[in-house]
Amino acid sequence: MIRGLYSAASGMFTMERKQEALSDNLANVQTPGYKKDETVLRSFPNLLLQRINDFNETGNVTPAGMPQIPQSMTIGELSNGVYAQERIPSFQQGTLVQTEGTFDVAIEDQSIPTQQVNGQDVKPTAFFAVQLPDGTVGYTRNGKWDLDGNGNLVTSEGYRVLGANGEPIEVTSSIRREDLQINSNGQIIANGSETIGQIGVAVADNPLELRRIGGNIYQADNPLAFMQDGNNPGVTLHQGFLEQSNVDSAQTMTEMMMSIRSYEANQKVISVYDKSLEQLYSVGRVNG
Amino acid sequence: MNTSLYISSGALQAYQQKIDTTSNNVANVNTTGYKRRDHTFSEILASQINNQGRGNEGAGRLTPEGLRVGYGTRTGLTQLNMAQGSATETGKPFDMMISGNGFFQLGNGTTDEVSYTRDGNFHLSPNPDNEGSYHLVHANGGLLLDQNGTPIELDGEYEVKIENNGQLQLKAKDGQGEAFLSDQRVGIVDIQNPSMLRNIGDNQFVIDPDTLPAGTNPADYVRMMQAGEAELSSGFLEGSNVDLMKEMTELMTSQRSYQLNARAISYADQMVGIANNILK
Repeated sequence: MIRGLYSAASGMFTMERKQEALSDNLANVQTPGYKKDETVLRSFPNLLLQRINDFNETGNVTPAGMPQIPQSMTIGELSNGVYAQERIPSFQQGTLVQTEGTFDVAIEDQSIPTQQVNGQDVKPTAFFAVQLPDGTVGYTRNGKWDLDGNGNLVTSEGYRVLGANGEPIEVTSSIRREDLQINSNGQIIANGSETIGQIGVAVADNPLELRRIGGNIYQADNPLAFMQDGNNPGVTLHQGFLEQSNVDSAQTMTEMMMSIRSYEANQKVISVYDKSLEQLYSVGRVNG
Repeated sequence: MNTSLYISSGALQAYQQKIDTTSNNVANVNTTGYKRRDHTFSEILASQINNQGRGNEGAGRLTPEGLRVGYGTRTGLTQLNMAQGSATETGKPFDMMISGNGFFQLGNGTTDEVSYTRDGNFHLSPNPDNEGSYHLVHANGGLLLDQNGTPIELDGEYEVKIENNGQLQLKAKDGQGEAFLSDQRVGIVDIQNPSMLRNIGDNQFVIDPDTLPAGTNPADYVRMMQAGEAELSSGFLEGSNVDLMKEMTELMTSQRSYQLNARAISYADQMVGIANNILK
């Protein structure tokens, strides 16, 4: 009977985890390029309950003269509660909003063809590449950039944006930012004709394999290849636009309400157990 | 343990900062030469919880092992937007407007400290060291500098006309003699990267030495523009580049997001309340 107490407690704990994920999504409702996380709940491994020290009831005949051997008897399965197994980021395209900033770039990858991964259709996702402080490469959808003191293109976190050649993009100080154009292939064009760089766009065939490391950055176990110019089917870059977060605040609020109610329901179950136990302990009490 | 409370309260702080930035823009909707700031958010770091005990229990999952949780949002960039403000005609001879790039330089006449402004609202002020001559002063008392970084000095005997290229045309007030050009002209400097500028109030900027790479100094990033490179219009002032519609929309959306996050805090609080009610 007490097993259910732990199941209800695991339910409360899991709903807290889910609420955390929802709060995180809601907090980032205006963060450019943010991808919402969806919590996947999973039942704890089932237990197979058996009665032991019991005689077989199915009427098996034991050979004459032999003592009956105690057999176990299967009762059935019992689920032992729930836990938050994983958070799956949704790489759905966010809305593009015009900002007119020179270094605001948005990726549009809606028309990228789907690919077969482990027998399932998976939509690849394009990312910008940045250099992290430890020298490794991170991938982001946040295209809100600026120039730092060295003339490097940097993200809001200060990470350097990489070009298609894998080197940080540098804009020399003799070029005015009004004279810079970024075309839909990611080429950075100065003064109307001179190409001074190419924004590195990498495509993850299965974006769910990426690891979220925070600051809008994802990391891959194996570095992703950069698209070379002219060869980026389905990916378009838009200068002067930012990709908004794909969080839907109304949906998030609704889910929050549902998870808080589920939390409450689990609490009620614990209360019921508590009351039953109280009754049990009060049995036989003198001067009750 | 209930991190949603901290996630949402952190988000409230970030949205508050956005509302602060927007309010400052709205407050300066009529400030001459004001440049608005655009606020954007950034996600806060994530941490990984290793929740997988034994190998076969995670069967069927789509993402790498572990649970990666984020901690909300923070202010990312507040970028200075250098778009041109609208021109306002004032008719005053010492009101100047720069079209396109460039900044006026302001000095204090004694030290080398220079600040930069787009506000071209200058007045004549007597030079205390030299009677009969005048400086051009800014509303905060800073002196307008010439192409060499020295304060512009005007002789009271001449009428002054500021030309489009920043040169000062002088003509004697008694009408005698030809008009001639002064050695000094209005010094206009070009600063390529507005991200280096720091607001110091009174419509002025300085180059923040903290943002510069090691071994360089602010002067390396300031280029004196040639006469005629920047177009100057005397008798005009540059208005603020704040777009009130856009700011009000921003204000509304951030206020709503603020409310939603406040609601999320209330939910987190309710959860704690529910947990506390197990033993009543």
